[in-house]
Amino acid sequence: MNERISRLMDGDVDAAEMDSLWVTLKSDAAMATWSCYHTIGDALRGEPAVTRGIGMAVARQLVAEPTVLAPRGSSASRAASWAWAAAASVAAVTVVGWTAYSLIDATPAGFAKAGEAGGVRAAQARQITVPADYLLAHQEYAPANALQSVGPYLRDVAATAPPLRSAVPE
Amino acid sequence: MGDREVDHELVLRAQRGDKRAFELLVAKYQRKLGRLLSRLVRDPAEVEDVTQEAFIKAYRALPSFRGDSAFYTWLYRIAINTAKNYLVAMGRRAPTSTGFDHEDAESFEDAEQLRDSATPEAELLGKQIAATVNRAMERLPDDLRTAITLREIEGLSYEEIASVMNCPIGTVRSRIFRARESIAADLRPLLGTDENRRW
Repeated sequence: MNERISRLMDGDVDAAEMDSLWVTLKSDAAMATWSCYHTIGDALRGEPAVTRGIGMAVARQLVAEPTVLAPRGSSASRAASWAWAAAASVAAVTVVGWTAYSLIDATPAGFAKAGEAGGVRAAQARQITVPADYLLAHQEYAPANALQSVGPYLRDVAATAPPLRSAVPE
Repeated sequence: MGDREVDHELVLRAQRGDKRAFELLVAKYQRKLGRLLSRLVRDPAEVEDVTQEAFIKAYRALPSFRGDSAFYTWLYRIAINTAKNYLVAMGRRAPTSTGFDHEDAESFEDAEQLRDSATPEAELLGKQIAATVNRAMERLPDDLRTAITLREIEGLSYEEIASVMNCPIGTVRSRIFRARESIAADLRPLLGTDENRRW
């Protein structure tokens, strides 16, 4: 038992072993060993005691204290928060993915239909021929025209200008 | 599992209602906390009262301890606040925060001043413990003395000690335990083994 207490003091005990060790730590003999080993460590570090009997006095007061029952430690709550966040993310991705998937016809027939549609468009594009004179006649309506928006409203205007006069008095 | 993890494990068990876990923490930190508080509260009898009060306040506050800091840092903060409130209640001026805070608590080595703050009984016991431990250390074989020195004074891990001493970790584990047991054999009569004097 004492060898395991010595290892516990030095952090050389894993969580699984801690559970079994805890049963032995309940005894007063284990408590005495734990306290004695810590006293040795303090003495070796030159840390003198300025009080004595504090442990017993605190233990007596603890008997009268209501038992502390706290919620699970922060590590557990953090793990739970992380798990909830991960679950929410997965759920969100699933909903978005499912919605998008349902809008797409991913069946073999759908793929075949899509392939046919592509072929038809390509064939139509090859068959279209536009006469050059037609394009010339409608050039002003073409999107490439810089005056596309106002072009239809433009009119040729001819006027006879009055004779030029000098703005400077003679 | 390191020292901080061991404390955290004990805190978790105390938070689940196991008072023995908190008693183990008290046994571990009572001397350190007493030394800390003796710098704030000079009267030895009052140091004992304030130390006890600090531990009880810490126990009551356990549900609020979230493990964000080390347990001893949290405990020291409570102890310092307890001492300051005590001094204010007694009509004495509490030291300023710049004069002393919990970071200082882990490093100060003002043993001469502390001896003045200890009760005569505690001072005598402290001297006897130191003499007994020193004598027991001198009688230890070199390998055991080196192992426990590297662990308790230098604070090295088992892995680091194994590297320094060029031996397996299992050997380090065994040497440290045998050293402790050898010293404890001399110390137990001084500390007493009955329940009333177990700490």
